[in-house]
Amino acid sequence: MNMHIKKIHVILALIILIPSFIDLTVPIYNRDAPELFGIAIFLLVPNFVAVCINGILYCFCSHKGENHE
Amino acid sequence: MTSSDIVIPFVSLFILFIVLGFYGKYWRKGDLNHVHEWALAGRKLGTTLVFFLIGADLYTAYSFVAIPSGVFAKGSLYFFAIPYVMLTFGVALVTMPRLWTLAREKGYITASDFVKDRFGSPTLAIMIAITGIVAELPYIALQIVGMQAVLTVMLAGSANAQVVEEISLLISFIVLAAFTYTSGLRGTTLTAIFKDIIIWITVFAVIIIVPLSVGGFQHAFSQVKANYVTLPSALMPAYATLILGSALALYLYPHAINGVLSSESARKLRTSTALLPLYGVGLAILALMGVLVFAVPNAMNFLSGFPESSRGILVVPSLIMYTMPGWFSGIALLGIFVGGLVPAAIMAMAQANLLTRNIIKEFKPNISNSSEIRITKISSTVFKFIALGFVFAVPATYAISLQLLGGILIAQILPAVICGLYVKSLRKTPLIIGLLVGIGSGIYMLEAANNFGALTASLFNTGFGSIYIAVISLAINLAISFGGSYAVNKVQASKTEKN
Repeated sequence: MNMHIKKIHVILALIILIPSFIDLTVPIYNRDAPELFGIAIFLLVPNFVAVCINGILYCFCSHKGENHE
Repeated sequence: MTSSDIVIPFVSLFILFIVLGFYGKYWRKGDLNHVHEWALAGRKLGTTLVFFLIGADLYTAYSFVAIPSGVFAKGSLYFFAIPYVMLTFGVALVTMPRLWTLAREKGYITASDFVKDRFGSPTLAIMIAITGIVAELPYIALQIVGMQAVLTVMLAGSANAQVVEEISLLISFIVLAAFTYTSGLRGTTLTAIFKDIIIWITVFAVIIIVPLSVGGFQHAFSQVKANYVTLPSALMPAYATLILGSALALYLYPHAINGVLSSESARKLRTSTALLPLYGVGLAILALMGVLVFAVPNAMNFLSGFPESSRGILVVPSLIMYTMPGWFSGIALLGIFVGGLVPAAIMAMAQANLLTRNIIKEFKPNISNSSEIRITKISSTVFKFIALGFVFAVPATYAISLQLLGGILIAQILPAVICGLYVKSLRKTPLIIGLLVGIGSGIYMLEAANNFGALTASLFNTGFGSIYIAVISLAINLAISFGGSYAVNKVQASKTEKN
């Protein structure tokens, strides 16, 4: 694996794994308030993280893809 | 319950599904007498196709039936599926392009091919293949349970419902086996796109129409106990370890690796994987149906006519039937039905690859290409019918436990497959011992957690609370694999020094 690919892996790992592990910090967001459309924050946080990760990853992957492969 | 409003769209779309499956043979033509053409669609799938194929691979009856069933029966613990999806694609994005690159360079078709080459151990490769084949069986069975749930709701109240249901399943599997045999992964990919379009339409329709018709989520949540809104603190270790264990296990399933290796390039694989967490939002909506159903009295009345243990798997189909117009119910139920059929096809293909390439070929290395592809196609068909027989023989209760059992087994190949991609110091003997101990301890804990009776729980009570068994047995496996490899390397180094 060359240095460039290694760098991509490290950046990807940081972008993905850090926010993903936010989901594992359940005690912090395991609450019924605040809520949105009647849905408790306990359920909103993982979905919010999903959308954020999606956006960041897509931008990163397509940018890297265009430039380097 | 059966009405022409529902049956006509259901059957019409199912015919279209069959046509697409058979048309796959002529789509992006390749020589289907080669395993990589039949099983990996010639490794020529782009970003969108890989997105739909892996989406179909991973969003299965587990999402449509098992998760809403768990939420309905046990509450918020089963919302673990939403963060687990996020984490699993994170893990995949980091590790799978590396596996894809090696597979392309060296012609691997399965994870066992990689393990055999990397560790020079046919024994370890065969063990990985057997683990993959066995772990897939309950997963295929779960798909059939999902299909059964659709038919049960559609046929409720009809004369001879049980017989019609079994014949319908049998016909569906014969058709599936026929087009998988002739079209390979190409047919499955086309049907996966078809299935995902229907599922996405259903999910969006349900999330808009159902809350409006029941007076909003607030009303639905007011109908359930507190443990459906937030997680009881005693279940936090279970929740966190279910996320972790399931996320680590998902991409180790042979059908997921099959989907990964069919990608045209590592870049396209990365981009499609980056988009896949979108399905997490769809999964959240499906999980919420386990709560929404409490606010639909007609659906609850319907469910009360079934034994408590099998009500959960009927939640989504019955919620759709009692809140949507008949014609739309037909479309949505077809989506769920083929949502079990398509993954079952991909899983059986992946099992067949493992059986032929990594088990039969080990004992008959001079097998010709034409014999290899023939055995692969036939065994793919056989695996489908073994799973179907399994479902007919075993009652369809606690569907999610079937998948969690598979998860416990498949997680044990992580040290060889994922760690093996990056860690040079791993050695084959500790990996073999780790795999055996991991599987043995996992099965023992599973049996102990269920008092050596029917499998309904996959959590093990420890001093830290209830923990998903896959995580405990994987930790034991990792300790043996890494600790043993360290010891082997030390011994070898001291021998070299002496010489």
